[in-house]
Amino acid sequence: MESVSTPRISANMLDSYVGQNVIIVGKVTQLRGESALLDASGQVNAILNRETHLMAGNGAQIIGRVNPDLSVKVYNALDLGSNVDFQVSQSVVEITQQYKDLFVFDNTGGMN
Amino acid sequence: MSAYGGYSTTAGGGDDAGGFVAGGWGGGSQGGSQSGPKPINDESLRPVTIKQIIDAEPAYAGDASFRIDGQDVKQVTIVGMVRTISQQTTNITYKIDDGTGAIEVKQWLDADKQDSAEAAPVFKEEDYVRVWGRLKSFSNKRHIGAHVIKPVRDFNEVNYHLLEATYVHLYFTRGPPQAGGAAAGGDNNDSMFVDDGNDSRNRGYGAKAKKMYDYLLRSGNPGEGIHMQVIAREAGMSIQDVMEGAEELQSHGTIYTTMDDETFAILDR
Repeated sequence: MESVSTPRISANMLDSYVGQNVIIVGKVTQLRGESALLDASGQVNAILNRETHLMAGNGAQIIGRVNPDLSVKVYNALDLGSNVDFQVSQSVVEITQQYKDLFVFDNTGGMN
Repeated sequence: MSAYGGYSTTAGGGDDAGGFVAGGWGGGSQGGSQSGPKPINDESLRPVTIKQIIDAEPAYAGDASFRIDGQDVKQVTIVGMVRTISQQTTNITYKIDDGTGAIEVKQWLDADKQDSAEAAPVFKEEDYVRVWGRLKSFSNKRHIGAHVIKPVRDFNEVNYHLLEATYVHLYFTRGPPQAGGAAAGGDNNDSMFVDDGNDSRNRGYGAKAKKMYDYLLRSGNPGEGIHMQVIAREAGMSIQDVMEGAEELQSHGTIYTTMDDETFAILDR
């Protein structure tokens, strides 16, 4: 059991999560080797590690830490294929905020 | 999205998810969760987030049962990412993380089938899986005793599950969405419900069928029906168009013929 949450957020919320681990689902708009641009209700600059395999045009889920410049240092990236309903993803982001009791422990990003 | 829309003004589209939520929950609600104080329903399978499991309060001292939103919970389903897999002598222990928290899931091995392929998981670390299992507590540590673990093939299931868990939580804490939900569904064209609004019945029809149906509705739908000559004249359609529209509406059982084959009325429910 681990009481640590990794909240699902979208690009427009990055500034509230600096220094924390987050999950972002978005569409890969650009791949540039060491980084990628994701569209997730706004643009996210994802700093990738070497073993990530994302596809431009596909959906992707990234898990990472939000840097002070609002880029995201990615620990885990998942190619989700082309069949991703981004509206549903956005709904999940919204209910995560609305019903924190179900989704987010207060100590998010803390040391448990 | 209307199933969820009853609760929230921020619900953004995604009628697929709404439909699944409504359908997925249908079976459970028939189990009679509101039928009284008797805990007859505590074997119902409940979709939850891992945070809900961690936050669940023990129902009785010394018992391995839990309550979430005041409901006894034993069987749960979660969707999360496999963090670690550790093969033990009697079970495989997975650590599953769904972004809200992490919990251990134990799949006990059948001694008789130990060498069979069954023991080998068809998923690996960092894959999304859905777990069906029973909530357990062992020396104050909670885990899930898995009945089945299956890889998630369609990522949308992850989001769907989180929405469904929220839906069920709201169902128990605020009651069924009937009143608000049906109303919201009425003015929301995404509605998956067949509600009282007549508009839901002519959706998907061709223009001719729609025009004819609208006229029948406007005319007050007299029980003896309206002759197609009248429909054609009043609705400004050609006889040919009325006949085509009638054929389509009849094939769906939306209208029926009354005194002869050329007189139609809307089938009242």
